[in-house]
Amino acid sequence: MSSKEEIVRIGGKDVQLFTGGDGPPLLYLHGAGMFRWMPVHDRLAARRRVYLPVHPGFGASQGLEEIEAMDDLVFHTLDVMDALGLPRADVVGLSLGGWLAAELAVRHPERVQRLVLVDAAGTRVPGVERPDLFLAPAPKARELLFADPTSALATSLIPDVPPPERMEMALRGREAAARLLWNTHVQYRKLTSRLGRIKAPTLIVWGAQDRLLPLALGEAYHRGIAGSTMTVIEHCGHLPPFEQPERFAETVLSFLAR
Amino acid sequence: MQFVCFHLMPWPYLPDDFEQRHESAWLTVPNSLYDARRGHQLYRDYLDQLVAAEGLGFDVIGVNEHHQNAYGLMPSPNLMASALIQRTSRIKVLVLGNALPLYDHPQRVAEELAMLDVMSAGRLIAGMVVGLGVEAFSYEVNPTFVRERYREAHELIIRAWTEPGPFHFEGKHYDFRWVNVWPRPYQQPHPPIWIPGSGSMETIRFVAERKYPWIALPYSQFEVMKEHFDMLREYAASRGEEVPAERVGWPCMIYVAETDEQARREFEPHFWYLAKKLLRLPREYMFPPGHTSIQSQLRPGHAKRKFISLLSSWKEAEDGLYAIVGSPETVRQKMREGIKQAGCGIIQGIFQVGSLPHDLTLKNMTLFAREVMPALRAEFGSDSPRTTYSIT
Repeated sequence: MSSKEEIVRIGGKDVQLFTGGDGPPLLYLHGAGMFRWMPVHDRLAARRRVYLPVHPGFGASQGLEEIEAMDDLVFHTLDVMDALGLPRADVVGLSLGGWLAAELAVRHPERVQRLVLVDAAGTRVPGVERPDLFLAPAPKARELLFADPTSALATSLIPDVPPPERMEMALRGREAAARLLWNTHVQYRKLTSRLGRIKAPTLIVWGAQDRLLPLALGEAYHRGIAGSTMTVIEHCGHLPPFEQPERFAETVLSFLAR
Repeated sequence: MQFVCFHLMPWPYLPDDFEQRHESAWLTVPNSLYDARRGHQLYRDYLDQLVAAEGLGFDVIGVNEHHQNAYGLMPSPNLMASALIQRTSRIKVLVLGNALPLYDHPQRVAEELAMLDVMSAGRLIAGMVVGLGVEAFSYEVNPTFVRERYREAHELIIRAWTEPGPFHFEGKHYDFRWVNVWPRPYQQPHPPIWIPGSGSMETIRFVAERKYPWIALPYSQFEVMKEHFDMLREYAASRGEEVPAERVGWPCMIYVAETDEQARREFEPHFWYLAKKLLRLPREYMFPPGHTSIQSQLRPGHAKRKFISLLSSWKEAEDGLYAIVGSPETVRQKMREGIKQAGCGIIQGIFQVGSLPHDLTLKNMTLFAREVMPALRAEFGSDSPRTTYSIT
C-alpha cells in the first residue's frame, strides 16, 4: 500500500498531509502523540481514501500561534476539509483528535457523515481521575498508554529519550498538545452536555485497559450520543489503532460500511 | 558592588528517608510533613537573619516566591517584604517574585508592589519572574502561554505605574477597562526591576532590551552561569550596547567559617539536604511543554548543565563552584576570581542553605560581612560608603 506525504498551503499556512487508498473519503484526526502514517492507516486505506492532516504545531504543520482553544482547531479543520474538497466525510478521531471530531460533529453536523470516536478526550465524569501525561516520565507514560507497557511497540513509540533527530519534533508535539490539553477541565466543561446535538451515526471504540482516559469517559460519550454503538477492545490501552490495528481497522471499516 | 543577603526560607525538617519515599519536594510533596508550630519559629529566625543583614552592612535583603513545596516557604513574597520593611530602615528590599503568569490579575501585583514602595519610602526593588515550570502545574496555568502572559503582565504593571490613570489596557490575556493604581509608587518613574533567569534566550533578550539587571540561577556549574552572562553581553553587543557590571548578578551560596575544614564540616550536610531533598525535581516537573522555548532547550549548552541534584561528590560541588565555602581567605579568593570572570556588580549571597541552623547562619553572615565583604568592596568599588553596625 502506498501513501503520499505532502505539504499543502491552507489559509496561508503549511499543513502536512498524508493520503492513501481509494474509496469513499475518511478523515482521520490524529491524537497528540502520533501524527504520521502508520500500518493501521494502510489497513483503512484498503477500502477508503484516507486523509491524515497534521494539526497545527505538530510535525511539519504551521500555525500553532492561531490555536488558543478547541474552537480554533475546529475552524482550522473545516478549512482543511474545504481545501481537500470534502463537504462531508466520515470522520475518525483518536484521543485529542477524537475530542476534535466530537466538537466538529456538535458544531457542524452537516460536515460529518459517520463519526468514530476512539479513546477520545473531551468528556468529564465527576470522580473519574485523569492522570497527567505531562507529568509522566517515559516508563509511566507507557503504562498509561499501553495495555502492555513492555511491548516492543510501546518502547518504540515512547522511547525513554527520543532519538536526537526526532527531539525537536517531539518537543514541538508536546507543546502543541499542551496548548489544548493542559487545563482540560475548563475546556471540557460544555461538551458532555452538548453531545445530544450529534446527528451522525456514531461508533465509540475504547481500549479496555486505557489508563489515561478510563472507560467511564467513553461511556459518557455513549450515553450522550443517541443511537451510538460502543465497542470495547480487549488487551488494548489508550491507542487501539496502534496496539490492536487489525481488530481496530475491522471494527471501524465494518461500521462505516453499514 | 551591591551585596544582597538573599533568603529562600526552606523547610529544614524533611525526614531522612524522604528521597526513598517521595518523588519530589515540590507539587506532590505531602503537606502533612509541614508543622505550623515549627513553621512559626522558622519564620521568626529567617526574618531575624534578614533583619541582621542591615546591621551587618549588606546593601539589599531579598526574598522570593515559590508554591507548593518544601524548598521555600514564601508563596507570597510581598507579605515577607512587608514584615521586613517594618523592621529595617535603610536597606533595600528585593522581592524576586512575583510570578506574573500565575495571576489573572496583575493589577494586584502593581498595587502591592506600589504599597511596599510607599511603605518603605522607596526601598523596594521589584522582581518580576516567569515562575518555575513546576508552578504551571501548581497553579494550573497553561505553560504554552506563560511567556506571553509574562510580557503582557509586565507591560501592564509598568504602564500602571507610569501612565496617568485611569486608562484601558487591551491585551490578549489581560484586558482591563479601568487601570488606575492607588497608591502609585514612591520611586519615580518606578521601582528598579531585577529579573532572575535560568539562561533561556527569551529572558536574556527581554532583560537586555529593557536594560534590567539580570540575576542568574544558582544551581548549575559556575561555568554555565558565566556562559549565560556572556550570552547576555553578546546579545546586547549585537544591539550595539554594553552591559555594565551593575546589571549582572551572581547568585551564590556562601559559607564562611574559621578554617576551610571547619567550614566544610559545618556546611556540607546542609548543602546535600538542599541538593538531594529540596531540589529533588524530576525533569517533567521542571520542563512542562512551552515553558522554555524549544530553541533554548536544544541549545548545546543546555545539555552541558549539571543540575545540583545530580552531583555525587563534594569535590564535584567544589570544582563547579556550586557553593563558595571556606575560611575568610579562601572565600575572598574564590569570590574575587568569580567576580572577575562573571563581570558582575551584584552578589546575591545565600547564607542560609537547606537545613543550616540559625546560629551557624548568623555566624556565617557575620564572618562574611566582616572578613570578606570589605575586601571585595575595596577591590571592586562601592556604590556609596556604608556604615557598618554590629548586630545586637
